[in-house]
Amino acid sequence: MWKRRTLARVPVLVGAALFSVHCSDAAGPDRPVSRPLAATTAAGGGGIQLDQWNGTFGHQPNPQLIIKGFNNTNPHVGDAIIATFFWFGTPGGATGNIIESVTDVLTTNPYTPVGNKYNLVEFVSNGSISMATYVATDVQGFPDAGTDGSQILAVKADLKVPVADGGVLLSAWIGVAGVSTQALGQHHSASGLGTPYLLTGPTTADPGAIAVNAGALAYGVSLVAPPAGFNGPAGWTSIAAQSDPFMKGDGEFDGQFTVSSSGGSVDPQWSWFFPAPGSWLASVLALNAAPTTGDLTVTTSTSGENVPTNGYTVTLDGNTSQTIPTSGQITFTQLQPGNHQVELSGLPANCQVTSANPVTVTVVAGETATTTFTVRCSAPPPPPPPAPPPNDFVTGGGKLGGGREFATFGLEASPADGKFEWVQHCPDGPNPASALCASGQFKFHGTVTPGSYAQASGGPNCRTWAGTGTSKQTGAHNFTVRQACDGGEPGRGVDYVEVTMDDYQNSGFLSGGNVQLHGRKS
Amino acid sequence: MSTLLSNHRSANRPGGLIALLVLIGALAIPRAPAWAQRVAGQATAAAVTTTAAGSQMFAGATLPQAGGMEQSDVDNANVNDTFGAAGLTSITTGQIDGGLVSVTTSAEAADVNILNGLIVAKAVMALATSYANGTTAQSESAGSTLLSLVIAGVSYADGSPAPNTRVELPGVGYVVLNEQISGGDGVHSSNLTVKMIHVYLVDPLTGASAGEIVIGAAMSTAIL
Repeated sequence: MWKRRTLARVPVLVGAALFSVHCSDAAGPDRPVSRPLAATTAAGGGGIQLDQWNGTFGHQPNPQLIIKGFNNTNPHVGDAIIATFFWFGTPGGATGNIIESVTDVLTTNPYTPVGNKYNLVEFVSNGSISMATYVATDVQGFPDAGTDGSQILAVKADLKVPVADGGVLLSAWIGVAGVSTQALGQHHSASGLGTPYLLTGPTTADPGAIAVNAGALAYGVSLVAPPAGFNGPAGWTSIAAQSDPFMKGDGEFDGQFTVSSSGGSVDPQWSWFFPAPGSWLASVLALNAAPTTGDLTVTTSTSGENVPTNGYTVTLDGNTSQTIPTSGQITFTQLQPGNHQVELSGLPANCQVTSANPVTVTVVAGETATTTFTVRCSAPPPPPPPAPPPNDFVTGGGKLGGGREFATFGLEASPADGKFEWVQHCPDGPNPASALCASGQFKFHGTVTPGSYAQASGGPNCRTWAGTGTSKQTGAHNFTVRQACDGGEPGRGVDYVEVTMDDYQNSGFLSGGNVQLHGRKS
Repeated sequence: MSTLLSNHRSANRPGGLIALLVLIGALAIPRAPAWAQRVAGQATAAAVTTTAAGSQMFAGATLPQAGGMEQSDVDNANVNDTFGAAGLTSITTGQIDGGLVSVTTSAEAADVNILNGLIVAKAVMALATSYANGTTAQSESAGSTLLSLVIAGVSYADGSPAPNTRVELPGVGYVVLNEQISGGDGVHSSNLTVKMIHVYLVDPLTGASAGEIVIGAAMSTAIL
């Protein structure tokens, strides 16, 4: 018997239930009544809506199978399905949850497995009546809202032991989060004894309070034995009530729901009007709404030197900014699905973004999009050395290196002019394996470019300059004296020279001779 | 004893040299106060003085009195049956600078052949450095070297022989390797002349001087 009641009733009203209960064969066509009005109301908010429901209660043709289809109209693909199974007594002496598995099929002949996963959420029993609630989210694999009788989605419980009587309440919900771990909220169950209402008044069946998120569905179901009239939870909407009083006289269930607009706590309570001593079970669970927004996590990874300590700035769509560590993460939450532009800024001059910047990231509702900026920092260039005094100049000459490959030189350099002589000695001829004598011996005569003379990085007694010159052996070259350092007298071992002439490079402390800095020396 | 060091600045300019060769080593350098500050440097890559050839100097450079740098180089030099060499280069640099006088002089030659192979060397390098700072005056020859030296068929190790190493050349005379003549008071003045190969030609009959051949001669003088 399918009932939609919100008023207290006495057991005499239950008698009409026989009609529907009997039509509980397999995935049979006993779709009872149309969707409750409340479901339509709930749909108006665009959140969770009751899509389809169905149920069976009573004798099961196959005592080890409880099955029911969503005839005459399938749910929508992507719905969440709540399936609450009921049974009576302790079949075969078995206690606990006797359900082996809950699966779904299409009502082909034979049945075609669909494969959605149904997770047990609540099981409650007092030894005489039992109730187990399973949930599948984002169901797939069936004709969307199909009405072909051979393609109806049916949900079944395979039982470990045969049962004489049982039933199931199926409900399909639009707008529930598709990931089960995100969808399932709090849940709770309770059981108790019922006393005749004529003696004590109605018995309250209360599964306990649970917290619900804004927009979440609260689903409540209560099973009693023997069948009784009831008042459902105040403010809740009935899904269906069904009893089996005449076949077995064993029980009645009622399913209710509410959708919380603002979240908070719900505590559904049934007032059962037991005609005689009995038992009650009640379960409540929450299913969260499918998210309508997504998140975006931005990661930075910085390498190199002189990494800033204050972090950078991440700007979303040009109008929302957050500070992000140089190597870290921040998350923008509750973003509308779609493309968003993300830009990293606030980098010091010595750091550069080596990945794309800005980037466009696609946010999907209910998911967290990610993007990573890689940054490379380098040591800032040293400040230019102070200009040497106007009367500053360098003279020197001597020998660099030892053995059979060595260089001799003479130099005279000032801010205004100068000369540079360099002789690379290679007495054994060109030697490709030698850095100095790869091209053989050469002599170089150069002149200093005015204005190139400056203090070098090696210290206050080091000078650098550049110029041009020629070599009979190797032709014209630019040259740079990167360092000519006066370390003291005599210069052997303390004065330092570093010279480049295009590809040629030679440097070292003098093995003979002297470099003399004139006019200023510290 | 004569010397090749002179005030000639131009390279490869033979003749009349001996008269100009001042015996720097023999010069008695006056006390510093009398000389005041002075810097001198002179380099000669090679010089030959014989009766037949006269006096010839190759790649000579003399430091200007005011300091600075001078250099001279000759690609090849040859005196028949007496001397041949390549890559002759002389450089001298120095400056007077208030509390310091310093000068460095180098003279070098490559592929040296003296007296038709009696003496050969792959490289000859003379380096003389002097400085004076008013309390100390020093000179040194660090960096001077001879590479692949062979005298009368006898090979010598690369490097700088002990100063004033004498090797007899029977029927010819003798050669002094790494000839060094130094002077100065060690406080205000110092000078050094280095001649890496100095061949003294002797008349075998009379024992009189018949000339000289010098390869790699560098002189430096610092007075403050």
